[in-house]
Amino acid sequence: MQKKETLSLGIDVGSTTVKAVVLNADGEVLYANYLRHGSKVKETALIELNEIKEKVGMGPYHVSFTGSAGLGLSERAHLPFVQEVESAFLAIRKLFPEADAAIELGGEDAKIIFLTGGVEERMNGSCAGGTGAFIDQMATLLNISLPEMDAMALRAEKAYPIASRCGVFAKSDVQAILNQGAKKEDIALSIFYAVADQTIAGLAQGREIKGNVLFLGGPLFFLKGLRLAFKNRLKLSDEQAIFPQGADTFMAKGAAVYALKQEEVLSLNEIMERINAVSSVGDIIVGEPLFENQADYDAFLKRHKDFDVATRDIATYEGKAYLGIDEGSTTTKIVLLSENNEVLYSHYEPNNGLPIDKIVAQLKHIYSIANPKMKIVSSAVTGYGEELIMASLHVDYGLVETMAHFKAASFFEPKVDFILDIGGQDIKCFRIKNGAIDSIMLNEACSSGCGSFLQAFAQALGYDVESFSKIGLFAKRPVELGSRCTVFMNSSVKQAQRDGASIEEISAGLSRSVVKNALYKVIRVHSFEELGERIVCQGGTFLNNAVLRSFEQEIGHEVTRPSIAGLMGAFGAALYAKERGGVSKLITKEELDHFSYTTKHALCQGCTSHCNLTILSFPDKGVFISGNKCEKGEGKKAKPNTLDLYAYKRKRLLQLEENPKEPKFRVGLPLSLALYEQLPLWDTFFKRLGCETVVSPFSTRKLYRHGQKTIPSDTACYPAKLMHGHADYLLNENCDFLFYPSESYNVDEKRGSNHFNCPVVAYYGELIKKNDSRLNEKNFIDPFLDLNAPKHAIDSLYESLKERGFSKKEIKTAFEAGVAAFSAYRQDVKEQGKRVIEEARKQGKTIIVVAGRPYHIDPEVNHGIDKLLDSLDVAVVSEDAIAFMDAPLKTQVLNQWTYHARLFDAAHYVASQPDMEMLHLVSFGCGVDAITTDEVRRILEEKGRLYTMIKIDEINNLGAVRIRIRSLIAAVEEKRRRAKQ
Amino acid sequence: MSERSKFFKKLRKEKYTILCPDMLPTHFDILIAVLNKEGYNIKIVSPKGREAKDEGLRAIHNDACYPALIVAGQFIAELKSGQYDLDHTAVIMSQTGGGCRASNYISLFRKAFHELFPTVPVLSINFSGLEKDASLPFNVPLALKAVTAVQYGDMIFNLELQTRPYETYPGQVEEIKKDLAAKLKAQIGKPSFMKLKKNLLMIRDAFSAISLPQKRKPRVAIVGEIYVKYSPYANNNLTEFLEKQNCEVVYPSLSEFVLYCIYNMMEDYRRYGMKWLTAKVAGMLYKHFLKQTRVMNSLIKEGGYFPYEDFEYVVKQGERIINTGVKMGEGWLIPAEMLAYSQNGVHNIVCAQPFGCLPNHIVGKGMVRPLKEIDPSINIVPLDFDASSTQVNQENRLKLMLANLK
Repeated sequence: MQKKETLSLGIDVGSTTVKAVVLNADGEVLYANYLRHGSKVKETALIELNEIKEKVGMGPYHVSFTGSAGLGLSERAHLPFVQEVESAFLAIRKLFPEADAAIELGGEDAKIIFLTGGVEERMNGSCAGGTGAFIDQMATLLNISLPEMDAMALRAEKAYPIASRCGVFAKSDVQAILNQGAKKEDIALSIFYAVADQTIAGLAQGREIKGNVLFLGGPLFFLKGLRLAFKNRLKLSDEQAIFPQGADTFMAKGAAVYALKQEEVLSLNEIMERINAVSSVGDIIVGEPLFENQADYDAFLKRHKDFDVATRDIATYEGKAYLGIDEGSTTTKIVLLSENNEVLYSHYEPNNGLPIDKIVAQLKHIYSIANPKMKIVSSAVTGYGEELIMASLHVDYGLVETMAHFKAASFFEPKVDFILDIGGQDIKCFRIKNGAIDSIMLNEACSSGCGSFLQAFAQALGYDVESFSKIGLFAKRPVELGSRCTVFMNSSVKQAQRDGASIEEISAGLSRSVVKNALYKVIRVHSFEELGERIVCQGGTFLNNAVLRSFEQEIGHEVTRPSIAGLMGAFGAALYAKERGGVSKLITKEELDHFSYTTKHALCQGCTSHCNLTILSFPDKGVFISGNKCEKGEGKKAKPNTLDLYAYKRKRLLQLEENPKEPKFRVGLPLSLALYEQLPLWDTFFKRLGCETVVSPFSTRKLYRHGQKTIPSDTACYPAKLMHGHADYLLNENCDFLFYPSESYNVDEKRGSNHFNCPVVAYYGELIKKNDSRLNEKNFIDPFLDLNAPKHAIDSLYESLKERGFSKKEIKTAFEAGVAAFSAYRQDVKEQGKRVIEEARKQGKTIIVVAGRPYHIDPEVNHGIDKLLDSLDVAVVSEDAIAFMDAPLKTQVLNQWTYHARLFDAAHYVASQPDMEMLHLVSFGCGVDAITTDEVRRILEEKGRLYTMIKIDEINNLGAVRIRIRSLIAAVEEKRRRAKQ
Repeated sequence: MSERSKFFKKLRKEKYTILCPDMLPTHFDILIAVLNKEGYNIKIVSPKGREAKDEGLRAIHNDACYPALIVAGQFIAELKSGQYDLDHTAVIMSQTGGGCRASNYISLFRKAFHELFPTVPVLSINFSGLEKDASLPFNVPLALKAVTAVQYGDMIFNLELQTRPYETYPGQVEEIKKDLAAKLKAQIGKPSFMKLKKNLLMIRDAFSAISLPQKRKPRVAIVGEIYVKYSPYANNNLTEFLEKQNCEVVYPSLSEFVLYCIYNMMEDYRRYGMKWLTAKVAGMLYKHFLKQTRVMNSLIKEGGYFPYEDFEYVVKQGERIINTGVKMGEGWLIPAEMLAYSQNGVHNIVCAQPFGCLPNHIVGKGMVRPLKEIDPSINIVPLDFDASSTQVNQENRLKLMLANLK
């Protein structure tokens, strides 16, 4: 009898699926299949193996596992394991020897393998969302299925720039674009491009991806639009871009190849026995159950029933009615109130990116069911879409969200101390003191513990959000998952699954993590007493009883949750409409029948930003333009911004000396980080040395993209990452060399205990020099120097420039001229600051101190925030102009960075000026600001002032920023009004 | 008597329990015995489970770095345990000073403690003149004893890492260590404690009970941010994991980090003319310390083990890749160590960092590419640590590095 052939079996257990492949000795595929495991890893693996037993037979097999979830399973089952990138590598070597590089996108990982010219294998770091899970989230956001999204992308006409670093950021970008009325087709394609950009920039890190490129993994197998995006971005021909058949089971094939090398040979039964024997003995941390039993749950429900709102039948109601609309980021909410504050009608639905259509349909519906004797006499709208809805449907009033929510909460709990609103995308918290909003806390760009987070998890595990939350209600041991961003949460859930947590326990754990995120990350609560006695919880997410219960358990205090928790914005808007009254201009029943609008796209030519404009035209000839950072895009002339110190600084910074006629060298100065302040110094220095200077322009998204591929650390701050673009720009300008000083110490302004730069500002030059292959020691000069020690600084400059023929004396003279130019610049800024403040006071305008770092004047870094403020009719001053008005402040934290000392002093000064408010700009990833934010908040709040912080990154979501700034202004006005009373 | 002297005298007299974070258990054990001999009652916290991490997340701004969060967390968890008289308990931690935000930990802790444990003082150990009123006073004899204790710690640490993978029975190394710690501690306060060579030899002899095989296991170096790279609690037992994967772990010595700090003081004078006197003292200390490490290294080598890299060799490697003016956090030392390792045959390197660590953008991830250019045989995996980062994610990346073992 012939000896039985030994087969090899590769099993790839990923974050969402189990894939298995059987190869015979000749490498032919005898079996290949994949199943979604819905977190039941062990069970699904066994199902797969049973299939193989039936279809291929008992074996014996060489076996190996691979994949992120395969790691734990194989370890416990004492079966071989091969890391998935390595398994891909083995499979490629065997099946596609001609490939030069391979890109694999998985559920939560992205990998790249370079095969020729030095083998290299790379995986995404812990914070990078541009993967399959990210695409799933985006599809959820657009409310379409993946195949639909793919089909749409193929019909797209244009692509928008979307932040590609992190899923959470991209979401904000997509949201903003959606709200502007952009077409879903275009968004779908933009998302695929974002994924391609993320993979290429984040993983290749400067190494070029060329030749024959193999594309692997589920998303690249199923999504044609994604394939297209990768192919275009990498400029590959049809022959070079290889999309192999069976890419979805490719890793499993690699594992099977690896298995061949294993000595052990097992029958399928033996393999299954080992897997079966795996018990979940993981070290899971568990919390207390949400409810002990049904009776507990019933009591809880009964208690919250007290806050039901009265309703009245719209069909029989006669009289005045008040309409409130909350046009949120993902949903449309409508409440119609009677004269006695009874709810006549309410509605809640995802707007699917088409807010106008949804509201028009709802209004038609209201008119069709209402008693003809009901009349809408006043209307108000709040939320992201406020302006759009006001412009299109002539809603009477607009109010900022925070005020709407406050109004609504006060209706249920007139003496409310604290409002926590968790919606689909936002978390908003307000502390109320003396009947006015005292402080506002909103979630930052990178903490997405909101409703859509639960929804995305539910869907990933195969549930709708409601039933998913319900199954957690009676879980005995809810898993502790921590409180971090979605990407981290994904891997926490993965770990819990590996450790054998049940779906019920994960569900309860996720509900609790939403609450923890809000409490510890957004509110930054130290003790629960801070929250006060009367707490109102609202927002759609709190309709979820698991979340509400978790919150009460966590703070050990009962709270109020109105039955219309999800509609509070609209309810507040309706109350506001009623309060304001007047004659309504709201679109009438007749006008509705003829209502239509058209959407057009254009590129604004007003300035170099070239904003992507979306232009909506309405039947009454009205036009609504969005996507613009300033008013120029709306055809209006930008107001002369004499009260904007940011604009002044941008202009003044670039008032430089003439270039010499016969320059000795052409020197590139990257307008980046420290040079946003020191440009006058170094520009003058080189010009006095007889050199011509080329200064890179203010940043743009395009400039960023040109440098993106050389960024080694994805989590560095955006201002730092932009320097790669500036270097790229200057390299194309035929400079003899580039210059960026390395300064551990900044100028000692005698405001703190030391005067450091942050490590990034200090040393980013060293990083650029080593990571852009076109740069070297000769053409990138970054001398280490300390401006406070001129003698040493001159020595250091001499050392690095002497071989170009400069004498020490020349350098000394030029340096001194530079320092003088630098002082003149700083002095001018301070004086102009005084003038702006004086003028603003004359005109009675509120002064907003936009406090950041020198580089925050860059329009791409601040996303046009100062321009936005100009349009809100306030004066804008920067921190460096007012930091010196008072004696240095004694801080509670170690005050040892020059730029940050200015922040503390500026905050201290603002707190003493009734007509000034502070807006703290923080770049995402700024480690130092983790310390300054709390301290600046303390300085302001100790004096009873509001603290508003805006975290900025690549994302360009001015909508959210606008709401924040308007909330600040509205809260200030409300406070002043009350003070007067 | 200065306020500070009075304060620390009170701590000794009233037998305050002073909690100290875990980091390098072997070193700290001896070091703390030295300090306790001065009359203190310092106790190392050894956190387990998630509790300390959760407490840290709650008390410290979540964007602050992981070491701050986790150290604060372990203090809080410990203080909450109820086993301390809070009127007679303090906490202590080291501060290196410098432009990295780590210098601010103490302020962060004070803020957190202000509400939670108002009676518990936060003390500092530093040599940069920070926290004048709350930093542990050192005189020259004590400093010399402490420095010697670091040498003993380094010697044990080096040999335990090289022998544990080849123990004749599990737990053998632990036994040796326990025995050695007892012997060394018994000498504290006696002149024999300062007999460096004799004691180093005693340590070496103790480990010679384990014989090394001809063919050693593949060696993997761990470099990175000081707390995360050393503390098993912070790095999810990285050493244990790698040893289970059949590797031998290689670590830089604690002395090297101390030398790095001293070296930077000398550089500040050379480059910027700062603090002449400090630089002078630093120069003397540097020479003394460097000599000690060389004594240790030659003894290790004579015993047939791999010694630590010589500090001046490491500096030279550093200069090949980055300007040694990069001095915040672990600064130039990290790429210098990586290159030194790879040049000397340890190509596999884990660069352990707190998530979002600022200097690491430059000296960790930022130097991977130039390192590969200089030494293509280098096999680095940068690994981020965070209170929420999971083992699955980290192990998977480590496995990738292990698949390419060189």
